[in-house]
Amino acid sequence: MLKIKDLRVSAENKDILKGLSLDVKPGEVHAIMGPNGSGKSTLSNVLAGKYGYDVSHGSACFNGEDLLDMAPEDRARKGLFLAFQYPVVIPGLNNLYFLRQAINSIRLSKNEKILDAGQCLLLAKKYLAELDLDDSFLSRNLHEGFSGGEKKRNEMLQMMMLEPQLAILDETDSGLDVDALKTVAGVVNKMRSADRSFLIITHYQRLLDYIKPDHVHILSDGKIIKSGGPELALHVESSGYVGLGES
Amino acid sequence: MSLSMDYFKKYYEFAAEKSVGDLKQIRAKFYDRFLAHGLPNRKSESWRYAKINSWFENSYACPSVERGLSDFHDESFMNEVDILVCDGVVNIVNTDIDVVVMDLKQALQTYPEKVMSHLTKSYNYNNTGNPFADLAAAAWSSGVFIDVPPGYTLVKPLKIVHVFTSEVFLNSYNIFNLGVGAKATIVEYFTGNEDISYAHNFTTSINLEAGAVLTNEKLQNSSPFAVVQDYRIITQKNSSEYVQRQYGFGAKVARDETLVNFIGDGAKNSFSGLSFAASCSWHSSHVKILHNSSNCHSDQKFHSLVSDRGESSFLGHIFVPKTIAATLAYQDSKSLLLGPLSRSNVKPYLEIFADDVVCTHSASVGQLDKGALFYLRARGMTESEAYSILLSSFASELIKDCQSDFLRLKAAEKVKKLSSLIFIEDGV
Repeated sequence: MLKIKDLRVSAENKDILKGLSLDVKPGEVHAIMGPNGSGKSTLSNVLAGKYGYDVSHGSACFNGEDLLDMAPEDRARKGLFLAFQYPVVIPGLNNLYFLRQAINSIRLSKNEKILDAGQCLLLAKKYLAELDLDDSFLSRNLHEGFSGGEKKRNEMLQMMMLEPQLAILDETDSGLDVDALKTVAGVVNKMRSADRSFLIITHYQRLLDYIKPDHVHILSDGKIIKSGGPELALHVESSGYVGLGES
Repeated sequence: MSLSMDYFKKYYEFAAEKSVGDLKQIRAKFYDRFLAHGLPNRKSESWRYAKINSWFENSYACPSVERGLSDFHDESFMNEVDILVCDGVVNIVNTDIDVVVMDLKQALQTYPEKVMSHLTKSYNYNNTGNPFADLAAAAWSSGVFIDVPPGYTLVKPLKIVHVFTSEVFLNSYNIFNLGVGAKATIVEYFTGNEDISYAHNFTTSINLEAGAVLTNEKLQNSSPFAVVQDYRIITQKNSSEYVQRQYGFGAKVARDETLVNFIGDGAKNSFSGLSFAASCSWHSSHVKILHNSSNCHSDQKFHSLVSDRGESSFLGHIFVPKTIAATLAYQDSKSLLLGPLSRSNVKPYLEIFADDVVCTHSASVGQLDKGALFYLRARGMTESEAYSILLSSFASELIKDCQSDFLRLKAAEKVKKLSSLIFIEDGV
């Protein structure tokens, strides 16, 4: 589904990703762990199409298409979803209206029937309970006055409604209490399927206590220095990142 | 060549020639002060100055007294209009209104004391200098008089449409008077033919007696060639409440100025304004609030969108004298610059001599948040859709509270349309 080959990326003349390769197959859950400044968020931003990055080498293909050549909206329409580490606040933009715009943008691109306001409301309500959120959440402005946990849950709500093929969770666990962490993990586990993949970017093992990844990768200084199974995350939790690159 | 004061003479003479007695005298007093004060210049208006010459490139006609009902139709609002003012000619369309609503000329015959009292108040309050307000009071040839009696609640909003169909320079003086405990909503819509140039210079004197509540909403949807000056003088007595929501679109030059005087304890005042200065237009909003009584509350919130070579300015002036207690005064202005040549000047101006005051102010000028643009695009919206949504969101903070469905939808529609034009022109 996602094939990244020798990806080299810089920003403001600073090399960040220095030859990253990754192969995510349909149905797989990959966790990427790494210390601060290793390039985790750069990877997620580059895959989603954020401006300000210079890709000097390598490729990233999504279902056989060159991802790096697409506009951000085209990547979303092809089924790529990024759960932001810091979701933006947009005062004046009603949350439900935003959700409807997002869903219908993607539906229109696939020549699917768009949802009217009532249908969108029903769909959103279906998922709100799973996220421990009440209906008033939809009438608020996008992330305005939201707690950190509410912002992350709103990202999950979007993911549930947009039903992407590949979801990248960029440190979604940061700032979450245990209950919220379980809720987020529950959403991911429920959405796991044979044709949907997840790329979970995290600092810590704790999210992986609830989501069992197929593969764990350690990212350090812009490269994946070690890959393994869930046991690798446990090793990081007990021993840290030190020495992993040498083994 | 600088603009001569003689330019305005014919408009004054046109209006004043048939005046007699006290009216003639007070018109002359206003005009003399207009001449003495002269036109705004860089010294008197400093940072918010715009070249006056460009305002009056045309030799506008005097408003014709012969014009009747306009055939100008602008959507559903025209079907519900109570008062239609076409090129200055006042038509009371709805004759079932159970408060006093009439042409100011008629009010001069019926309620001469009330009209003269407002004119005198305007003369006394405007002594610090808006020359165009003096000109409007000297040279008015049109005006609407609304008087809501004490204790009366006007259930339905009064809807006034001002339409410009010819290249006139209209000076207008309007009076909104609410008696003790009266309640009303007045909705005003200004519009004109898109391809003509006209100028209107309005002064509106608003008086709220004790406990009166007035909501005044207005939308300027002017021709891009129009010159628009709107000055409001608001006097508020004990426990009165005034809410003003204004939306400004179009016009070559638009100046909105408001002077509020709290002359009774416990009065409240809330202003919000949205302007969109597109192309080469220049929009200015200036609010001066005199907290001359205790326990009064004022709140100002202004947003401006500026594109291309447009320019906007906001001055929020709050004055609290030393002897006044328990004042609450809030002010917030935000400007969004949408082009490299767009400009915005904002100036919170607080003169506080009292100790017992809670006052906050904020002013920001910035560009569209690229992070927000990316966020929306990452959810599947195109760049132009995301751009339009962000501008509409910025505007909706002020539009959402508008009680008039027509104005709210019209304002949202104007923002959306102007946003899409910018996107195409700038090739963002």
